[in-house]
Amino acid sequence: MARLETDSSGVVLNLESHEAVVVEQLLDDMIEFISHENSDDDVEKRLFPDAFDDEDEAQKFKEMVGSELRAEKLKALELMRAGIVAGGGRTTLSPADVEAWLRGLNDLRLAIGTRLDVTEEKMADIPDEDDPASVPLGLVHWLGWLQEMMIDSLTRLESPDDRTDEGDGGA
Amino acid sequence: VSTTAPERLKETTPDEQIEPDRPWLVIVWNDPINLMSYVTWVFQKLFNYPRAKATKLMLQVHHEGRAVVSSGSREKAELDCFRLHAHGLWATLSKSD
Repeated sequence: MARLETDSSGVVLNLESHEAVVVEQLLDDMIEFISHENSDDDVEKRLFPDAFDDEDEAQKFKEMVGSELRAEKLKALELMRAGIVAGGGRTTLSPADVEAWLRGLNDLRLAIGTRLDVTEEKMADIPDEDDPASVPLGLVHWLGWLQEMMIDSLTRLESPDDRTDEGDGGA
Repeated sequence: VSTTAPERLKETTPDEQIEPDRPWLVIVWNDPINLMSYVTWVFQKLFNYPRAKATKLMLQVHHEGRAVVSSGSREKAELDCFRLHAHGLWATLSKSD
């Protein structure tokens, strides 16, 4: 199972080889998907939502900042991709890297979850192994677990004395 | 602040100068995928809200389906919306009544 350690240099992510393979594949697919506009696609709509109810306003906003938003997302995914050690292993991440990972992991979760058309009920259920969607749904949960660990590690880096706040240190 | 402000969002819009007392609202909508801890972290990071306020807003999104997370001039609201989109939150803008 992936591990995350916090030390003075930042956060060290340690992925096992099968995890590295999966994350690499997801990132390659996502980078390919996000590199261009995908008209009439649910994932595209979720990652690049309309900022206004009014269609014209929404379109104008997209024309103004859409490509910059795409570039931001792409940058985070490429940073993640560059940090994956082939065959698994340790990657040291600065706090800024961890923030990029959080955004990238979130976009991966949104993409897979949107494709599966998940609901809050479906997210809370224990996946049914006979359901073909249980594998990608399991991935959404695993990526979320990684995200939770990274948020914890950032909190610890920013306020090392605040650990009991998370309920993991006891009083 | 993690995201660089898009250059064109820094321009002042005429709207704002004419109607300074009707601020723009930035609304975040509930979705089934984003984690509560992540949404709270984003509110703390983007708006410098204390943890308690960020948590309260996240819970409002979760239970009521939406929450106003920031407000101000059109340019500020557009920038906040951009930053929320960059973090994968579903955000929209509207003018307050």
